[in-house]
Amino acid sequence: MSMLSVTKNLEGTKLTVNAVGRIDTYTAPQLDDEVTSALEGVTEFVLDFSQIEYISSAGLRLLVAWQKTMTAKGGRFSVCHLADSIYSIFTATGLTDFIDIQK
Amino acid sequence: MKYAITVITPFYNVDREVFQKCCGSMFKQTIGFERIEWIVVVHNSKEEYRSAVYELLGSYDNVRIMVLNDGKHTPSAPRNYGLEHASAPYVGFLDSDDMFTPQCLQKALFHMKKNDAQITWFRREYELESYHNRPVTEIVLWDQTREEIIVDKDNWDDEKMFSGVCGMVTSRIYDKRFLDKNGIRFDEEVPFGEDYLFNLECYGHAEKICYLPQMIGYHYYINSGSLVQKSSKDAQTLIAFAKGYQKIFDKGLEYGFFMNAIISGLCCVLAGFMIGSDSLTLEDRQTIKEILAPYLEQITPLRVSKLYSEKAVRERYEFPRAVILEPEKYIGNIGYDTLIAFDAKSAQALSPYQIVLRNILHRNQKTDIGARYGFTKILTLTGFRSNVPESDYDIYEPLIKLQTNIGESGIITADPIKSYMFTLGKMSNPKLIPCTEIQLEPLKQLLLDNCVGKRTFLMLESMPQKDRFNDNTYVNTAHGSILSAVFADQDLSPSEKNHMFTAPPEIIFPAELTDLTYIRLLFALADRNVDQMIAPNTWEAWCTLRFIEKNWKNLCADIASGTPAHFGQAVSDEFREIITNRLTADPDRAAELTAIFEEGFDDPIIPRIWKKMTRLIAFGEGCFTVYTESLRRYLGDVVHENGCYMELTALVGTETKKNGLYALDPRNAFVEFVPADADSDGKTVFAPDVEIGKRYSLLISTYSGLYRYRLDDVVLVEFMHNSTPFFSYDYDASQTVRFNGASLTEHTICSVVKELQNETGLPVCDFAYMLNEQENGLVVLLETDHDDISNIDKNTISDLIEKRLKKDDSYRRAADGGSITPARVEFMEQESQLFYRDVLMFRLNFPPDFIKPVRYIDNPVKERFFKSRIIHQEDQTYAND
Repeated sequence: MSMLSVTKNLEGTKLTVNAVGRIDTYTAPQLDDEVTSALEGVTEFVLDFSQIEYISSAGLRLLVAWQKTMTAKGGRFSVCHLADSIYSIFTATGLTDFIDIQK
Repeated sequence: MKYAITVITPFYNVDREVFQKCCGSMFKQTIGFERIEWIVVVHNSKEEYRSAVYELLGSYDNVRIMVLNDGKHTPSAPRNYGLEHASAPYVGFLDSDDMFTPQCLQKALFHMKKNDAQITWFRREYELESYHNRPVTEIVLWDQTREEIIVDKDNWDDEKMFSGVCGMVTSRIYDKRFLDKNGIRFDEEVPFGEDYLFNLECYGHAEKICYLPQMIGYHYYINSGSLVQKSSKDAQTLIAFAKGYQKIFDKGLEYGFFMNAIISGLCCVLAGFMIGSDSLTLEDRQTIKEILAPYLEQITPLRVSKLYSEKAVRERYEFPRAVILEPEKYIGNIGYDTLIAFDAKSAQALSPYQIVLRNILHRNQKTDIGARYGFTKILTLTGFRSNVPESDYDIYEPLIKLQTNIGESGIITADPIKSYMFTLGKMSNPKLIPCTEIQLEPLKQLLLDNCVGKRTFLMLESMPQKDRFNDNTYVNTAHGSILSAVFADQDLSPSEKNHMFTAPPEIIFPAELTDLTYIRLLFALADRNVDQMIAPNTWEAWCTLRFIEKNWKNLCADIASGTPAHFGQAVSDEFREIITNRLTADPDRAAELTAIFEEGFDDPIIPRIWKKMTRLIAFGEGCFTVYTESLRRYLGDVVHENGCYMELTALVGTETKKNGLYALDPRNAFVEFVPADADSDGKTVFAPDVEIGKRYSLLISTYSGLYRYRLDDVVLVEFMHNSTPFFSYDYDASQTVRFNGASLTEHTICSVVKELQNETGLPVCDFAYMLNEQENGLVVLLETDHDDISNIDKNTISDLIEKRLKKDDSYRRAADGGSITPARVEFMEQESQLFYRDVLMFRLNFPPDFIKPVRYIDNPVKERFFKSRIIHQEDQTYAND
């Protein structure tokens, strides 16, 4: 069974989420719940990939959903500290066209 | 004189039962049967029919049975034979499969004698053996408030006398002495229309004719075996007809009669025979043209009246001219069935298949496309095929842009466009398909038929009508447009509209575009009385039911509280408030559902959630088949129906109980069939001409302006009934993969995956396929219900797939010939197809209805995407280029 731990850091209206472990079909719902409950009043949401080992299609779907949610709120969503392998996934799937990637 | 009247009956192989009715009508004549001299001329008949006549009538003194075997095929000879032997002063004609009404002869003779007329005319009523054999009209132009109208040379009325059905001798009685004095007999050399010639001769000599508009004297029976009604004729016969016509027309013109109606009417009949002939050559048609051209060229269009509508006038003028005067146009048997432009009052009834095309062309004749391709001049199905080219979206794109961007109208459809249906092309390029009210009408009716009186969990919504095009229209899904039409229906009461669906109108017609799966479920789950579910396709149904499985705890909590607390989509506060106001706290139902869900999902959950549930209606064929199978787990015994087969708002087929086959449904689209087999010539065929066991792709023509629009869908015709094809959906031709001689359809590969599932128990929930890097082998990508494939032997799975693919002839030949490499399987991450859909929906900002799952990965963008989803067994990392 996959493991995922999530820490959230709220500075004003900026939320940064650090996920540690794998984001897959098993852990995606947990991450979704944690983030959704924390997005109230947030205008900027950053997902930090520095300790994410693996993200599957189920996890990538969450990114699309959060991008949509933040755009609808007039806010901003971005990801940071992507490993090269994950960055190449973003380009292959077209996510780089609409998700902001911070170096 | 011994007898009051002689009745002459030519008898030719009529069934005993039918002739008995004829006899019965004679026995019942109020004039007294014994006062009638009945001459029955048994003409070229078989022994069993002949002996029946003797059995029935042999004992009557006033009946004379005469046998005439002359090998001729018209009733002229037996009628003349009868006339030669008739002894009564008056004579009438009764066909052996028809009847006189009881008072016919008495009344007709009364008026005849009273007015000293040479001819008395009365009305005929008819009885049909089948609906499709409707006769020419019996309507007249005479004043029907008058019992008796006397016509003589001072009161001559050509138009009334020679319009409509004016040739029948069976609706008249004649003064025998008048006929003999003028040597009037039937011309035995005229094989068709001989009645007309006889009557024209009579009218040319008669001093007085008595018309009885109110008296129905004759009962005419139309069966498929009658000499007159047989529609398949050889060249020799048709040329003989034309020569006979020459005599008829010359006689009428010689007397100076109004001949327009007779010439156009008889030539229309001949033209109908001509287009249905198997043996008529171009030379034969030219011969007929030479004979009849002088007459056709001199007639003018008839007057519009209750006998002839404006359309009938135009068609009676144009149709015979088109077929007879332009012989090179109609080569080969295109069948009378193919005719579309002939008024139903004046010819055989058109089938619904013909009528829908006629109506589409008539309705759109004044559009730019209608004018360009001459819709007003198209008379037959083959004429439509010849004049209007096949089309695809490239033809329509600039036209639709003129409509949406400039506000143009009347280009492809005369009707106002209500909305545009958005759909995606092969390269995910957007297409806008117009929807008009008449186009949506049968779809709306279908939804109403399925939903009124029921409580439906609807797994779809309309799109918000926000951004208007410059022609005052919006984009919507097909289902959204149909829903709008349903809710706009004036005949439906507000309570009926509110009761039909579990979601309130504010959710069915949301003001904002967002994923409302969660909200739909809050309303549906809370409602114990749901008895059916409707989804656009089984993919959407499966996603929704899986959503329940993953999110039931949040759903139950929100049902208990009556708030959408766990609804994670970003919507305006206003919309959220609308949703909240519509929800009702129901802790009892929430507890009930929680108990059900805590039992798990191993047993089918749907019948447990909704005890009244009877069915799911969702299209589940073609690319959706794999989800239809997966739904079983949730549905159990709840029936799944595909509903109708609709493509681009064209209602192509309605699901039947015959093995779930679709019956062609010609309510809002005319469908042509293009043979899809490799060895076919690709020539389109019409519905009655398709062959059982063959595959066809489709061309559709619709009210909203698509004409011979090419679809990629391929259907398999499995059954025919009354010229209606019954078929199954086979595959989408655009998803066929071809490489080095092998050609594999989506259907074939889907079947292979299904067999693999059955044989190995592998829980495949989705799949796609592509060519390998060298483009000489197939790669099948499987998505299972878990991402851990460490225990799966890919080589074994690949071998099983290869073995099953070899059941396809083209694949086996290519494999045996060494031109292709064996197929291999790869596994992709769970939810990869859904991820692709999410990305597309994000880019295009449209709901999931529009998006089909990817089957054939046929372009670099899809290839990069799906290759990145492949799981590597070794390290469960990514398969990147």
